[in-house]
Amino acid sequence: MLIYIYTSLVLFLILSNIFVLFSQNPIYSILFLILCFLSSSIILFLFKVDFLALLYIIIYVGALAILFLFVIMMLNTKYSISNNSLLYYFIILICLIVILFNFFLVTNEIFSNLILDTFDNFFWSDFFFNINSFGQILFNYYIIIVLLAGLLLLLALVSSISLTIK
Amino acid sequence: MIFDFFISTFLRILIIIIPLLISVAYFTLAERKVMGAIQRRRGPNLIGIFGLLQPLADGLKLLVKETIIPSNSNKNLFILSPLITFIISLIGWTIIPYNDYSFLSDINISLLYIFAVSSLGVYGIIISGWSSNSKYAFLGALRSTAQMVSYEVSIGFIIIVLVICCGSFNLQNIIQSQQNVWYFVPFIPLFLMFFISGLAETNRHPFDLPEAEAELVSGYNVEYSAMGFALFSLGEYSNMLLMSSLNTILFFGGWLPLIEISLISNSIWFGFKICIFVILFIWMRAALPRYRYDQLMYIGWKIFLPISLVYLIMTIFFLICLNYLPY
Repeated sequence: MLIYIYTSLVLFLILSNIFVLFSQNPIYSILFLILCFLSSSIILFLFKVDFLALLYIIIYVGALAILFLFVIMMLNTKYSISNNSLLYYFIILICLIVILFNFFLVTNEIFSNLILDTFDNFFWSDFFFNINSFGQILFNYYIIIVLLAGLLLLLALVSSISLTIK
Repeated sequence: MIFDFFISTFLRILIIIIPLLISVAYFTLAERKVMGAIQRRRGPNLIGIFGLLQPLADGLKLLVKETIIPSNSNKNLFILSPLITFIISLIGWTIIPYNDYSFLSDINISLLYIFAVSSLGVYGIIISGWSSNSKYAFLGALRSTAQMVSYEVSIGFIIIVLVICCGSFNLQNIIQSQQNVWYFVPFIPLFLMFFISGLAETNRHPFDLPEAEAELVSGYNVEYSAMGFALFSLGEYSNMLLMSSLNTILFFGGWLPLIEISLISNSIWFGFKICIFVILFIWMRAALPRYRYDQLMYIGWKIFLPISLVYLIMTIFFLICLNYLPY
């Protein structure tokens, strides 16, 4: 049962990705991008990574995609990709799909048990909740990296503000 | 086995949604009645006893009316957007606890879930404004989207203060941690800010610029008629109910009773508290004049956001100094 839901969701994800590339109207491609984010967050839910799934919705769908929508709606662009580059994108897409499927097949054989085992140990043995385990690991072992990531974000913020001032 | 599961889930969802829709209908009636009482009028009193059947008549009128779809609009999105607004306003009710044992689902990150759902609610509005292909609807959608996005930020910080004090994102745990004292006693400024941000988030007075009839043409829903308009207003009112139930859960102890009386169950106390907030929403609409748009943005970004940030840091400081962190 679960595997059917999972495969149908992945197919949906791939389909909406294709529509992001090939829809003529830029607004439609943004809406399909939102569908991509939503379906990937549902896939994360199926993997029991509930915290990351909700963060996906809050950050990507709730903040980033709305900004994209705003900009594209207000600019009123009539931009559409030409047939030539469409073919180019299509070739890249097919190559990616072939590579990814091969990758999945190989990793499924070798690593699946290993990955699932470590995943289970990592998330479910020590702590009961997802959010607890993330907090414990991030702030105990990777505190410097978290601080550096915050500084990077601050840098991006300050630089964008300085761009607008000029 | 799976069939049974789907049937029971469907029934449980219906048990929540049908009373919700009835209460939304009577919310509209209560709004007109209370506004009438404040302005020394009668309000609707002709259909049924005391006008009690008025919302049903209104619903029937909206159902029977003709649905007009503008010929230059983007038809798919135009039809889809009221559905999105309505469904997303219903989704938030899945995690509201009505009593210590009655809820649809009790997940451990329910506040984050509510935050995610409220951030999704913007899409129906912005898509409706764009798809109706009219300048007025588009400008109205931009106005209300900017308003909702900017007030979401301070709501997030206010929620985080409470989560730090309680130690859990779970709504049941937050309610149970208020056994001794409700959170609105130590956090009165926070409660006021949350209530005002809730008014702005649900596009209500005094922040109802999306549908300021007098000075601007009505907002994102100008082009809608009949059922589309009804779905928009249903979604809006159910969002208001959700906001008032969140107010009670976060600051007024949810289903915790004020006085222990064995005849009155906890869920009735919960409904009573929600009713008080509903009347507050209506009172605000009757009493206050409308803000200008720049004043609205000023309040959101330059007053509420700094105050909630400082409050967050101050709370963490006190909790760490006094060793009160709940972990």
